[in-house]
Amino acid sequence: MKVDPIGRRMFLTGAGMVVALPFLESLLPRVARAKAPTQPLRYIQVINPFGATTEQFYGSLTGASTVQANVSVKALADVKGALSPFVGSAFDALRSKISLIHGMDVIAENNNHQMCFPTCASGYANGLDGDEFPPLSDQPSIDVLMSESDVVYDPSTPTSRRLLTLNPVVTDNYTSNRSFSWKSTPDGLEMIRPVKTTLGIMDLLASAFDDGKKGSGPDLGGIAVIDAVYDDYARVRDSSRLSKADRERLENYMSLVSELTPVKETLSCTTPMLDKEPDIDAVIDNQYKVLAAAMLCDVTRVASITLGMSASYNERHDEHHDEMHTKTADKTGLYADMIEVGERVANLLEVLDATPEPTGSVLDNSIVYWGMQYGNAWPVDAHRSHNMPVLVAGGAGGQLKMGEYIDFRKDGHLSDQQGRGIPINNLLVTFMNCLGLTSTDYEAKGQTGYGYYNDRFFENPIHPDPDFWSSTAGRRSALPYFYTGTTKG
Amino acid sequence: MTSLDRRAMAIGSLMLALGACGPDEDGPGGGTDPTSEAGLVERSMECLPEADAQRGITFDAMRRLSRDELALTLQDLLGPELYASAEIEPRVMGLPSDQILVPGDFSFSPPVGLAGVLNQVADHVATVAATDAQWRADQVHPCADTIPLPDDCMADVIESFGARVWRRPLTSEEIEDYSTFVSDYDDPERGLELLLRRFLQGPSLVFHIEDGVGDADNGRLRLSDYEVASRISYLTTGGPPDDALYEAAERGDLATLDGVRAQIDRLFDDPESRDRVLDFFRFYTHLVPGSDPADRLAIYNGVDPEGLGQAIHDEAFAFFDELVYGGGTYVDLMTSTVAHPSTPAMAAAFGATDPGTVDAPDHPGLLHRPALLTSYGDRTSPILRGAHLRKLFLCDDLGLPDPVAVEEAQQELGDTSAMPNREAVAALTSGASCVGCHALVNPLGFAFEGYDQIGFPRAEEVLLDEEGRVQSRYAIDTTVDNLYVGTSRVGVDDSKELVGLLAHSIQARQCLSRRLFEYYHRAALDRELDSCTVVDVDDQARDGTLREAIVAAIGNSDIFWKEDPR
Repeated sequence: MKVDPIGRRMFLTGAGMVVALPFLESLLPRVARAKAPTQPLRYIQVINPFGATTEQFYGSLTGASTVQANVSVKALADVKGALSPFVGSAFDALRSKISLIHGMDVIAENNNHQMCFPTCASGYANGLDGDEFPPLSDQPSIDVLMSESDVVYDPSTPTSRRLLTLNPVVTDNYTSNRSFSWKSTPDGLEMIRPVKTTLGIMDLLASAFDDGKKGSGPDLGGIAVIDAVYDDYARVRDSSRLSKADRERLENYMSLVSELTPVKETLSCTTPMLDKEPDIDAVIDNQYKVLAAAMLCDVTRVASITLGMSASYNERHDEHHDEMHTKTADKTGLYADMIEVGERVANLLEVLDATPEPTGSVLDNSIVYWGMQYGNAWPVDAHRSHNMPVLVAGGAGGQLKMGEYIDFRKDGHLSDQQGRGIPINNLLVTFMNCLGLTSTDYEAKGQTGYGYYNDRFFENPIHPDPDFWSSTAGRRSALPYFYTGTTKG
Repeated sequence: MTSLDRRAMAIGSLMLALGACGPDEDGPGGGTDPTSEAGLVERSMECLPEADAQRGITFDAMRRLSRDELALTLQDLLGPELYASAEIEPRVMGLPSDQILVPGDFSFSPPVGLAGVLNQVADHVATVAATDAQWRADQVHPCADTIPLPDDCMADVIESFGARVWRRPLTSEEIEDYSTFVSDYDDPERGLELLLRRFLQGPSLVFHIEDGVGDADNGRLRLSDYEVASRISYLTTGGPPDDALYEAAERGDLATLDGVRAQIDRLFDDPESRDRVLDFFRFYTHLVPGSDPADRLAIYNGVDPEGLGQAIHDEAFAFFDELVYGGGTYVDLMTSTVAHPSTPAMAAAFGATDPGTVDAPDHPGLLHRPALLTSYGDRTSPILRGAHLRKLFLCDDLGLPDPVAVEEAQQELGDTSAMPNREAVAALTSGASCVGCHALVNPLGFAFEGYDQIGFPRAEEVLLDEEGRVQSRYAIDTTVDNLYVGTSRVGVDDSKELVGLLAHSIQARQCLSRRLFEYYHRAALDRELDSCTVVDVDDQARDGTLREAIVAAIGNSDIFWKEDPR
């Protein structure tokens, strides 16, 4: 799918005129200008349901050289033709800005479908069977951790725009209301339900995308209304016979109400110009434009996108089994959907890369993580949690090595489809480290490391260097070679 | 053998040594092991005195309005025309849908975008109110039919529109507070604008606020009549109370269960209630609209594949609707041979020539809807059919396969296309680590082998190649003699005999009752706390109609109470 380069520039229009790129620093919010001499770093995760075989996602990629024990690499530029069926030719022009990471394993407790939360480094508890069950790790997903962090955001940043959770695909009834974002609540982890429509996203950002209305002065009546509304909630909180959990939920909502007060906003971004939405690709294009504009303007720094399938879960699920069991993949709608998801990810990267900043592009100053619900399946096993498909783009302002295929599976097992790697937990720690988070941030509940761990994983000799990766230092370690930033611990 | 009673070989309180599979130790509700009409010995949920004394404690959190509840609430407050405008409905429907997929998956926290949506909606409504006197007269108060607002109208607006917003009469303190708020503005038009903006962003648009009245009773708080009216309405229709319900609350008619059930019954025929009933069946069956199944199988069966997926889905829901609103019972749900094909292809599936309401003796009940039998693989999957039946309609928890064992079995077995399906499945699941769970699953699925992947009856299994040519034919065997229901082992000749058995199974019927509880309460079952409610529902499912069972799921003793959080 092609992206209209004019359309990409149109979010910087004002009063009917196209503002020439590059973007002026004076348009950056005061907070961003004051705090960040360079561009802020952003994190975007794109997750789709189901999984892929090694051949489908990694093609025939193998490490050309071993850079250290159990880390083999190959330059993507050296690969002729498309990298793989799912990471297809749409990524060719982006090869210097992506890396494919192989050998990332979710440590699963549940032996059934091993449905995974690639954003939580966890599956769900044994005995359960369904994607609505929370991750066993009992930690929020990394996008939520980032969005709640004062390292990532100025403390005054409104809650409503710290994390954009999108799911633009509407034809997949299974994933239509799902995300891979989990937050802590008084009742345990709760899935954040995504915003489906472009209008809904714009509403979330309405106070920032004000198109210069602030110049007309504050809406004093509006302020009075919000204050009164806030007091109405406070009365419910104070007078009703509520549980502690209810009160907490109420107060969380009150904080969202208080963010509606017009005068609190300091941003001044211009509303992106959006196209009509006759089909789902137009919806996705619009939402990508909004996201790019919001990130350029520093309205938000963290986003989570779920890209669903074009048919029902039941149909795709049957195909998923069929695909893995009979290898008739190229005949299935699932296979076509996966190719389309890849193209949509590439589209996102193009949009971000076409959004320039003083230094590089929005893409260059971001981490874009494309993952899937299942690991790379050995052909006769449709649901596995090892060898999770991982594509990382953007490089986090130079902290991540781009343009490479990096394989963390144990030396000697690189051609073995069943070969195991290291915990995906460390990939997520890497992302958090890039944005400045440390173990203090993700170990808030007293765990060691991020995500789910069990001893059985490390007792399997097929995993490389289990002593290190199971240790405290190992759990807190970013991925070697791939991560070039400072050690965070 | 033809008699189910004779075929049912009760084996007492046999505890199946079947690994991690089967009913929990406490059974579906924890309770006794009565013998059903079918001669099955089954676990049955019981209402214990201590649970009965705490009825209603299951409402232990302040629920928020779901997206659809908010939509109906705004439609009621604003009128359908204004609600449907481009400034409002798309915003509301852009919020997360809150569709329940598994019990208890409803998020209690409001979505992060809700405050912004209500803010935008409220602003737009205020704009409309400033220019549309007729809308004001229709939706706000008749005295507001002139612009500018007459001086003596504001008090009426506050009292009447405020009561609809809060779903109860305002207190004198609240009336005074709102009056003070608007009196800050000399211009009554400006006051009205800001008042509407305040009302439409208020707590009752976000939460179901239930203060309760009086002192705690056994850890519970009794709800006010207006709060009961709201529960009745939102649980039944998904929307706010209508005038008749408010009047019933005012008269004190909602203090008794009879009064409550009369109101639920009155509301039950509303289109919104009907939508809720059908959405329950979506939750119960996990059926969603599907794409058209493989062309080649439809063509092999001599029907047009175009639109078949939707037609299959629609027939199932027409079946549910007709049963509930046509006086059907639980037994009918399991055995009725009435079908509602909407296309010639669907009619063919039922052995009929034309669409409409037809008798389909080969498709008795829920489990023989083509929608329940459809799959997208090259062959039927007795494993999935059996597992779905056991999990969805018997409420059994199943153990989970070890993927390593599955992988090894598949590798060992190799290509199974040269084997009959049943033989292949049996061989695949014959390993020591598999047989425990699959003894509970496979027989259920084998009994349905008389139906192909789009639910057409078949006398033999036909394997088609990619071009739709017949690759192989195999004989069908639907007899099973080791089928476990409850703690009994039975045998059946085929799936039709099986559904006859389930029609009289306590476990299957109580599973429906449990699902009704889980759906209408938006909660996972707490076996100890909620058993009395499920028993209430099940009494109706046993002795009454499906409609009465659903009414009981909404209107039972729980509706008067909430947990005392202190």
